[in-house]
Amino acid sequence: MTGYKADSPLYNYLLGLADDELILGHRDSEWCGQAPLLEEDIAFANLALDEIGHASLWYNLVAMLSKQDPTTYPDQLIFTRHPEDYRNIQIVELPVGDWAYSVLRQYLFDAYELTHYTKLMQSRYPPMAEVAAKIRNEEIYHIRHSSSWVQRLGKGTAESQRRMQNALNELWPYTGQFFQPMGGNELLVDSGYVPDSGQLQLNWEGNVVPFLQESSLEVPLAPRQKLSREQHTPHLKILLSEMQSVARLDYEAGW
Amino acid sequence: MYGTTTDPVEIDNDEVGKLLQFEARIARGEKIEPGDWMPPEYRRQLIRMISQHAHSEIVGQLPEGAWITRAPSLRRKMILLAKVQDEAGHGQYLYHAAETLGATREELQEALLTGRAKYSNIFNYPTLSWADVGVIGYLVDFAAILNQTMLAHCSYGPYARAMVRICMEENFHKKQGQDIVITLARGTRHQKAMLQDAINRWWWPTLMMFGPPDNDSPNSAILIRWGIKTRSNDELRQDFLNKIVPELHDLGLTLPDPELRYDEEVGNWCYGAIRWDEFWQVIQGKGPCNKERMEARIRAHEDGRWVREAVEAYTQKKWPRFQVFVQEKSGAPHEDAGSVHAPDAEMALLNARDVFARRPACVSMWVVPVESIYSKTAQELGNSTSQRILDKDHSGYSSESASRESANSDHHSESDQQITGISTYEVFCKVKEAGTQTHVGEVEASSPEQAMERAVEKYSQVRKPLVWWVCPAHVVTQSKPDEVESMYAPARDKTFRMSTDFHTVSAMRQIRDGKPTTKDDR
Repeated sequence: MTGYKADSPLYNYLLGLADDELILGHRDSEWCGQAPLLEEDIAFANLALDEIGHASLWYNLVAMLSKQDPTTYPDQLIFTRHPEDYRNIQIVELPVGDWAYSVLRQYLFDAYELTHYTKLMQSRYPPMAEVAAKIRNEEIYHIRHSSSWVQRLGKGTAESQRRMQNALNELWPYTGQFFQPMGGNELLVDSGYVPDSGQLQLNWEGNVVPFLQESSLEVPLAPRQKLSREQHTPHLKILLSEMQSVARLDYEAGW
Repeated sequence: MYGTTTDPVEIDNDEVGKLLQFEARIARGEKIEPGDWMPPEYRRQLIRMISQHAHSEIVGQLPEGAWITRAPSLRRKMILLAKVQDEAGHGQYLYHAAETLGATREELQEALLTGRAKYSNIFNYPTLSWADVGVIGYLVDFAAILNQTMLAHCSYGPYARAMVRICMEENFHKKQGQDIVITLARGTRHQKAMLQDAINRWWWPTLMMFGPPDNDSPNSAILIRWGIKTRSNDELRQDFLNKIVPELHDLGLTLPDPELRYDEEVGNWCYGAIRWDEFWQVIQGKGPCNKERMEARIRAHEDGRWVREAVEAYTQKKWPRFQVFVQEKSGAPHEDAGSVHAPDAEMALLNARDVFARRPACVSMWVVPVESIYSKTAQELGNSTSQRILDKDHSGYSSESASRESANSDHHSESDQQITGISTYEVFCKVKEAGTQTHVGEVEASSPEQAMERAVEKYSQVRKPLVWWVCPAHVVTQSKPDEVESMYAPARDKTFRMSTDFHTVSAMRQIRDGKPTTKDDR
């Protein structure tokens, strides 16, 4: 695609943040009109909207950093990039699964974001600190919502516990990628731009593991994957071919 | 007016006085509130209409929802998500209005899923291109606005209030649709063709949305007589045509009606014959998408069963309904906004936030189990001693988690009440016909009945309230002040869901003034 250049570790870091939010928001939006309760149709649309809104904030920073027009560059990135150029982690691109799967993924990701953004608020790169602080506000609400559900479904009926446990067994290996540093990460950490991912992982596990156990779920022992953000499942390609289908009718046209 | 032979209402002779009084109230423009006397047929018609309307919002998520994942820009994606979310929210407001008449959401949903209840035919047509999203917002939502603006003045208080809330949001729906249409109309040849095709397909179904012609509309007479509707189907349809046709012409679009012409004498756009046979076919389930839409709803319901069961098992009770009171700005009183279903007070607060604070007008919320609210209308106070509780489910409920009294040590707590028998009650009143229940203060009492008496004594001085609610202070769960930033502040940044964010009026003016309408004529 035009204009895409992985020109700095910071660019890649921001793009990773933006792509994670966008792709998870896309998956959440698939629940529109399909949720188990009317109140959750509304809540999940809300989550989707927030995640996509966060993506927009990060893409704007990406545009700013690469001296591109913030009114057009984000859409160009989203709608013309190929799957192999996306920098999201795999957990967000997996299909929605059942409600247990979607709720648990949301919880694991919310906990990661909250941990991450709490540190990122102190970034020595002011635009990043500012956006992180803004997003973190909404993440406090997100985790309240998703943890309420994890708890209620984990401790609900035998069936809900079984579905949650299955979801955890499937999703757990993917959580390793939350903390997999990207190329050039040390430089960003050393300059105080981004937090050390090893420390983030400890913080995240310190919150998530006891909470899952309190919710009657057994944390799997399976090793977690340490994939790079350049590796994707086949699901991303399918997702993007749908997401880009209208825009691809005519890239140059205004929509 | 009353004695016509076609009167569908069977009236017990003893009830004639009540009916005359009821119709006189409607003639005076008073709102009927839950608890007031109403003819059974009024209640039945309202439940039928409101639930049909609610189902339309719920099913209406599907045709547009299918395009969220394909919206061609980040901004359009957010707008469409917000719009479809509003539709679920409108369904929620409307189910609430029906619930105040004694119907339960479960019964209403059951009626939808088994095909007994209807929803708007328009949602049984397929959305085939991105232009359909624009045309639905522009035409279908505009048609809905005309109908809903009328219903915002209807005689039943809770329905009118739901409509006021909905109308404010529908304006955003129409404008976002019009914005897409304008963009496509000014776009490439391919985009224009896509738009024209969408107009051709949606035109007639939109005209049918107003319902059958007046001479074939079985419910219209009674609905108009009782102030539920104030304009007939044909009047609304004509109003729609007169407003929309010139705009569509300005946009360079043609309409698929060779008989469409302007009648200078009466000032109306006259239209060709509507194919009512198609309308009745679709109502009977034979539309292009009836099966698909119902299957989607049934699947969502079936797939969600284990979730609902799990939460009931967790809380060990059926889901209560929570009345939601919203404070729009610091210092303002909390006002009734509607209700949400939730397994417990914590989830009720979260749900209430998503349902009632999508747009920035909230700094604090209270949720109160509906069955703990003790209510009386002015009519009940004047006419009888009959007292009632808002919900028909009287199962005892005791609030858990942070109740309001814990935030204020002056209040008598639940345990104080056990010792002294006295507790604090919150008092809410509606003083204006078109108003809503507003928090006015507190009284101390040993029972809801006594709280009501004391509330009437204490708060009748200035204006005579029309409806009174009291509830024990300890069943009120409130959002905490330090949650404002995470719960309600983010809505301020979502300007794209405000109708003021769309400059459709100036764009239409530019188009009329002959500014270039084609960006690219490839």
